[in-house]
Amino acid sequence: MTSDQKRARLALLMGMVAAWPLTGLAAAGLVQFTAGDVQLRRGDSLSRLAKGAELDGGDVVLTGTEGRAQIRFTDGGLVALYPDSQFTVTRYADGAGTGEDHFVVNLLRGGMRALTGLIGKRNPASYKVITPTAVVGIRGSAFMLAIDANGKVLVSGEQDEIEVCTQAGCVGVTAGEAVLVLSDQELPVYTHTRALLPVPELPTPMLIGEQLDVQGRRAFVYIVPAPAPAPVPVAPPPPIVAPPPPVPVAPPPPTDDYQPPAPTTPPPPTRPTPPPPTTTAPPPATTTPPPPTVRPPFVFIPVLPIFILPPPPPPPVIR
Amino acid sequence: MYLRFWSRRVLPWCLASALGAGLPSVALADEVVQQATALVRQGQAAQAFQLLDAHEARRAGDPVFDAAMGEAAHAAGQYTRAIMARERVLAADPGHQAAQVALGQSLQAVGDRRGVLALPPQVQALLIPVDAGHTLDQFLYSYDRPEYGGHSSLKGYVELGVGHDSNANAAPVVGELQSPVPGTPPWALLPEAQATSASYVVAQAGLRGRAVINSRWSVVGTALAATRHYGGQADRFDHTALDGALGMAWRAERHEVIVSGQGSYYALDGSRLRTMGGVLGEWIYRIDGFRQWGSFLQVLEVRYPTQELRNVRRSVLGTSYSHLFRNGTSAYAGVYGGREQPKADGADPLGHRLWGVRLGGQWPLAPQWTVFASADWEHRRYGGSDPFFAVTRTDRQAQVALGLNWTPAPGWRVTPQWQFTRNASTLPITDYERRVFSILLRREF
Repeated sequence: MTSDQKRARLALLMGMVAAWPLTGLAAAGLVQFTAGDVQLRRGDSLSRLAKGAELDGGDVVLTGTEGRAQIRFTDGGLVALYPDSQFTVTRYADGAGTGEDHFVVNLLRGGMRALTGLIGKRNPASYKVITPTAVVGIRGSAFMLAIDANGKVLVSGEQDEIEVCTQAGCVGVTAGEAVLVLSDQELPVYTHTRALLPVPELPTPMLIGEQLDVQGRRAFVYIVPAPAPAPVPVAPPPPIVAPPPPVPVAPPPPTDDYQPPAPTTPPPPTRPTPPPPTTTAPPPATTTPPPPTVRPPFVFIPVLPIFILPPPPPPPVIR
Repeated sequence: MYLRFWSRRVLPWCLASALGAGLPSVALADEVVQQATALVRQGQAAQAFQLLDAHEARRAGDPVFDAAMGEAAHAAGQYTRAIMARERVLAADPGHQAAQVALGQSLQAVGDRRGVLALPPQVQALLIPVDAGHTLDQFLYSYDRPEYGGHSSLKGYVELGVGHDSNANAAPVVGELQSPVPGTPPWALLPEAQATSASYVVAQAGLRGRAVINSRWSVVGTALAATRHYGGQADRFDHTALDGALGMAWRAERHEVIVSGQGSYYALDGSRLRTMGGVLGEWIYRIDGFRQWGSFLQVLEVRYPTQELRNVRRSVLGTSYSHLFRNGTSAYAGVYGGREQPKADGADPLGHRLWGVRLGGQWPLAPQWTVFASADWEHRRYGGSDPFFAVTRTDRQAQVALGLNWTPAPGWRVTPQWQFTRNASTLPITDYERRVFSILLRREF
């Protein structure tokens, strides 16, 4: 082998190394990130799992108490594994050309967050996450799944809708929702809170204008007539009495011994004055104004102690 | 032999090749991050995300790249991808508070409360409060604690506050009313019946809870108590209210139906003024974790023991839509209608038909501050001509509220709030305005 051939082969090798993500995608998936204690169990062998490793069907990924891993599958799907997890690629087939898609993984413990890839989009029914108590089917694209110490499975949706099924049936979980799988025999239970808008409040019960009295009559509040405006100071016309017309008195007849009285001076005649014209001006407000023509059927009642004011004093008479 | 060959011939070549190929690669990589960062700043987050996505398989684990990826993905609405990237940043530097806050924002965006609550308290304090971000306590309520996880839970609060009420007795502001009889003098209200302005102190406490029977059935309950004491001459308007409800809830898929019995007691100045009892049926349809419809039918017997003519049966039907946005903003809108039917014969003028509209929202200003606002409008048309004013009473009541929520520490909340009520009524005696400003201190547990 010449040196040129060696260089060519080496260059090819390095090119392959540089392009390892592409070659790696020939497997089911590729580990794109690990942190802490992460192991791969393949058959009977157990080895440390590192960034860049390939995963195939049947591989089991185990994360320790601080371990984390992220796996990118060939269909573009992503799975992030959290501490203390056991994750198995049960069956994987990217049938982009053949039409046979399978994405079946098993989470025995721990937690995972996933984004579906093309398999989930092409054939949602083929995407399944199997847990000890539930099978999570996917109709959406992002979810979080965690198994607690008691084996209960909590599934929350992060984008679109996923479907969580037990033997009792399936429920849909959309973004922001979460369900708890208590057992395989029960339907998953929604766990997110449901905030409610309270029913409208009633009008304030102490509205002054709505209070009624013990007779059941509405009085709102007691209303007293406001004092009328002060009258215009106009001097009242003097009383005019038409003097009786002078009655001519016939002088007594003359007698011998009768001396006729000296004639008296008759009073000057006065002109009778017409009666004063009728006025429409209001009478002085010296009396309470008349009640309304429709008597308020509701008498006064304030629930609260409200005192009746005495009527205002009569205005002074201006002469 | 081979070792010598590798050490002398191949290794230097490889190193040289690696240097020759690697340095431009690093430079290119940095260029990618810089370019993506620039795109995000220009508002082109989707392009930035696509640019970085192509390099993620190779560069995942590089904190600089992961931070840029998290920012671009979050800005592009790819919240799950942002979470994954930001978790990688924290795996490299677990104590990085800015990264923790960034992760918390992405977790909130997908509604992962458990993830948020798992963050250190000091980080949670820098995020939108979990409660405030998911419920509008001023407007909305929930029977469940945020972290209840499908189990039975109980939550409560105690609230103390001070405030000023411009019209403690909801009296007409005017002191003089036009007489209904033409030509007669106007009428004057007694001073005691006119609007009374006063300061007050208020104390409230409440409990809400759910007892889960099984996956479908649960018992829900509420108990609330509130008392308000006015200062000065307005102390006759002191009032106390007690409310309670107990019901059954049934869940199926996205539906929840709650039927509960309700009771209420209202005392004015130590004397019972109003009691209520009835049934409330609610149907909640959750479109997803961020959107929901809520509908209700309420039938209440409203009794005024000392004013029996006012006794009515109130029936109200309504629906509302509420939306929680990914940034923590909440908003709702609702309409309702119904009637209050007097129980007594001949009391039609005291009954009415009503319909109303409600709008409200809450916006996060800063991690510990949110602003909220609401606007309610209600129309009431009464059942007959008022015998005193000889007009049919019609009310158009508008109420606007505006306030701030400050969460100085988990479980604590300070709420300054201003509320304005205007009831435009054809009856001058029920035409009033009211302004209330209050500051409330709330402790939740």
